[in-house]
Amino acid sequence: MKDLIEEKSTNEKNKVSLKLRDEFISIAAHELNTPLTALTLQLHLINKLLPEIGSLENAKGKTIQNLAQSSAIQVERLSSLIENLLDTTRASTGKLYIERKKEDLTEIVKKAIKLNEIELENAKCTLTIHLETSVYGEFDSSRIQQVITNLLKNAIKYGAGKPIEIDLHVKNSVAKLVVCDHGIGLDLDSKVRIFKRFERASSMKTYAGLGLGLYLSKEIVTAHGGTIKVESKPGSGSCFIIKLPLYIN
Amino acid sequence: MQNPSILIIEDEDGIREGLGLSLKVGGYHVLVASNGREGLDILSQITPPQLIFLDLMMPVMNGWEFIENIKNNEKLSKIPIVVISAYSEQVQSIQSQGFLKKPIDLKLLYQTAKEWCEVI
Repeated sequence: MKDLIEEKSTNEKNKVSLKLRDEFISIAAHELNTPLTALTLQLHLINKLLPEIGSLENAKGKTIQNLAQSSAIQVERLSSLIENLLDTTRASTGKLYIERKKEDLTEIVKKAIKLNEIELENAKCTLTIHLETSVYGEFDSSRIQQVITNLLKNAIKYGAGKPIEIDLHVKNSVAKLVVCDHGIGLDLDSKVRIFKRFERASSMKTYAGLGLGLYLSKEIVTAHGGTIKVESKPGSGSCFIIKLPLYIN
Repeated sequence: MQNPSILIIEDEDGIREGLGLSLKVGGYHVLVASNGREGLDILSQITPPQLIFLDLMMPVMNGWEFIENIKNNEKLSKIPIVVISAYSEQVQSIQSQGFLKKPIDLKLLYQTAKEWCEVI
């Protein structure tokens, strides 16, 4: 009886601690977002105005231009990290907002690829794309784009510069999207853990990140009535497989 | 011809200045207020602007209260309002013509301003 009471008390304490943690993350993310909004606008404006100055043809001018562009990319990265933190607290409180409407999944995948073009190029990963055309369903395009971007970024990060493949096809009114890399791969334990909050397959000492991308991807895919899983072997790369129903109300 | 005018209602100095400067560079006449009450004061003294960019969480008078205050005013209720917020879910509870998510992308800001200022 005493053990049961103690266990209940520990569970209650854990729940309170988790709630406090989520509240802290939400407040911290919002506070970080405020100066970031100002910084983003200022950097975008600098990048817009710099080419109009006209005295940037010398080496120093070009360096300033490169620095401003690079700063804007880093600010966007920071913004995406903060957005992931905000989404995590939304998901844990059931407030991850999904606005679904009739969209072509093929076009969403193409947009996500385009957004990650520079990173793919920098990582020297060749990308093979097989996309079935006109894959219509009810999707929140920005959320699905977020999922594909997460998978692509992971493939780049853990893919060791090797080729990446994206495949989209439809069978029995279900869209199957597969993103494969040929990098470090995952062991059995990691395959289960990686879809949980703040979980990472690799050591922080080797690969940076908050461990939220796949958790959020799973939440978004589930909210669309779909599934996400990974097939992987250490040293042989990973394939993330998403299935999304294509029903339209 | 006069430049289209836009009122920005935002309590954070850095964001207000960033938005103001960006829109001025884009060729707009910009008015600024740091909360809904200041926004109402400005609106009572000028010809209605073509567009209002409205933050939601502000001291003195927040964005929800600002909209509540102008909704029965025949002249002011016709001004298009684009809400600027970090939380897309907040916009579900508000009647506005548009939404820009913080951090705000400059291209989207110009696109939105152009869209609404051309409509009028």
